[in-house]
This record gives sequence, structure tokens and C-alpha cells, in this order.
Amino acid sequence: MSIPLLLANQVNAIIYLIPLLAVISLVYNATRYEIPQVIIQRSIRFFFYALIIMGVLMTLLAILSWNL
Amino acid sequence: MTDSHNQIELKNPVIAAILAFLIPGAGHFYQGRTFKAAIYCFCIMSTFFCGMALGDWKTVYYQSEPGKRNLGYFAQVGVGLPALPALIQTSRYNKAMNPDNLARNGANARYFDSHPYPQEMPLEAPFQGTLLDRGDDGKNISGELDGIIKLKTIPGEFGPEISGTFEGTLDNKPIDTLNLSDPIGMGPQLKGDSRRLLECAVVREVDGRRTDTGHIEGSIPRPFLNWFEMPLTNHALDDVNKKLGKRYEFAVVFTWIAGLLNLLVIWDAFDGPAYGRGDEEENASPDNEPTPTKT
Repeated sequence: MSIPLLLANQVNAIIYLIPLLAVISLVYNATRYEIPQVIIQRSIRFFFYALIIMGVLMTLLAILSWNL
Repeated sequence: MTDSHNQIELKNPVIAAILAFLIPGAGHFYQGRTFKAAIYCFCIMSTFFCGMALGDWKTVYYQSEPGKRNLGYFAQVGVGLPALPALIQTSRYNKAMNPDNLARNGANARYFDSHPYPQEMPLEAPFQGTLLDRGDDGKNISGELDGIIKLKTIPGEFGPEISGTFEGTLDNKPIDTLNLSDPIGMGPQLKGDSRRLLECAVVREVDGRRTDTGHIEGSIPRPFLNWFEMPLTNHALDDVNKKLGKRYEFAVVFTWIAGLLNLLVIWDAFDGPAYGRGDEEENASPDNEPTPTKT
């Protein structure tokens, strides 16, 4: 498979993961707190933290598997 | 556990938990926590049904045969009513696929996928498929068929036979009615696929005798209740994996996550939010804070 196709395939996978992460962060934080404003603030923070952590992990794995 | 239930009206927590299990968000709606009810209902239901749709509506099923059990269903069933029909469908499927039952209905389990079902006749259904035939002029005819198929049982020389007609189009052009006859093969009545395979011979009058000149192969729609959340055979699972690839895996994960998230929701309906309302720090006055002890 060519590199652009491979990248397109990966991007396609991420498109599914982002709404899933949004749902998880919203529902998880809604089960932790009661006040709507707190739920939304915490969910946004959770979403971006998770996104950054996953991005770092993905980059790390991509570097480790470079030229394998 | 927190003292959140002292501040939040949980009404009857057991009823709320049962409602939350059956329909995500219903328990919170019952407790008057409408904002959370809306979040849970929208997020969990949309995740679950997106998963179902992404996987061609074949992601949720329960296979109870030993060695074929799919443990993923136990995560999916957390979503409640939308996943529970799979249990009923498994029971119907196992009953229908029981070799004794198949034999009683005249179907041979070994040729199960291509055996006619005389008890379902007469049958009239929209048909889509292909034709491979030799016309009256001896020329080969082939193409895509789309129309109505009608089958019925008639008395034959060696017992009841199945006969019928096809009326419709070949490659979008109207054709003369095709006469159909045994051998007719039909897919099982219950299967996790919205289309039911059907194939049968095409017969024509050749030199004054009815002769098989070709066959049609295609599918008719299967009623919703006969395919929705029905167990998938290994063959059907291979087909859907081949067709959807990685998308099927994502679809299954969506449904698992929806079910697992609802477990948190059920606990929230039963015992309130895990960390409290969320405004404890703002409300805490300096007087209430414990004073550090000096040694």
C-alpha cells in the first residue's frame, strides 16, 4: 500500500475515534458530577488530555516502529 | 461512595437503576435529573446505533453454542432494551436450527442452505439477482434481474413440486415472464442477513417438453424480525469482515463501549455521582475546614 493510502487509512480510523472519545468523556464526567457546568468543563478537559496522551503514545509507537 | 445522595433526590434508587438499564437516561429522567438523562440517552444510544449501522446491523448478537459464544455480547447488553432482543433471537434460531426441527419441516440439515422449504409456499416476494439462460432462439441470455417472484407447490409425478414465475426486468428492460421450477434452493428462514438467498431453475418448452434451460440466482428480502440481532454463522462473520474490514471492528467496539458506559450510568442512577455535585469546593466555607493540629 502506498504511503498516502496508508495515511488516509489511519485518518479514517481517527475519524471514528474522536466522536467516541467525546462521548466517553461526556458520559464519564456526567457520572462523576451533577452540575451541568462542571460536567461540561471537566469533559472538555478530559477530552483534550486524552487526545494529547493518545497522540503522544501514537507518536512514540510510530517512532519505535520506524523502518520496521 | 459520597454523601451525594443526601443532596440529590434519587427517589427510589432500585427503580431508577432498572430504568437506567432498560433505556439509558430513563432512570435519571425518573429522578428529575433531565440534563444528565439527555446526555446519557443521546450519547449512549447514538454510540450504540452508530456501531450497529457501521457494522451493517450485524454487530449485536448472542451465540450460545459451546465454543462459539461471543463474550462481547455481555458488554453490549449493558445498553439494555436495544440489545436484549438478541437473547430472544438466539432462542428462536437455536430452536429453528435444531436438527429434529429441520427434519420435521422436511429440510435436510446437511443441505440446509440450498434446500427448499415447501411449508413456506405459496411465496411472493421482490427478487433481485442474476439470470443465466438459453432463450427460445437458442441464444444465451444473462443479466441482472429485478422484479417479483412467485412460487407455489403443485402436485407432481413423484410428489409435490415447486413451480413459479418471475415477472420484471432484465438489465432494466422488461422481459417475458420466466417459468421457474425445481430444484429450488432457499436460504434459511432465520439468519443474520436482511436478504435471503434464492436460486431456482428456469424452464422452457423445447420440442414440446418442459426442459431446464438455465437458472436464476439472487435474493429476496427477509422480514426484519427474522434477521435483526440473529446469531451469525462463521461463514456470515467471514463475509461481513471481508466486506467491511476494519470498519466492522470499530463498529463492534462502539457497541461494547456503549454498553459499558451504561454500567456507570446505572450506578449513577442508583447511588448518585461518584465525586459529589461538583460545587463542594465553592460551597466549603473556611469555618468548616478542619484546622491543622499543632504538635
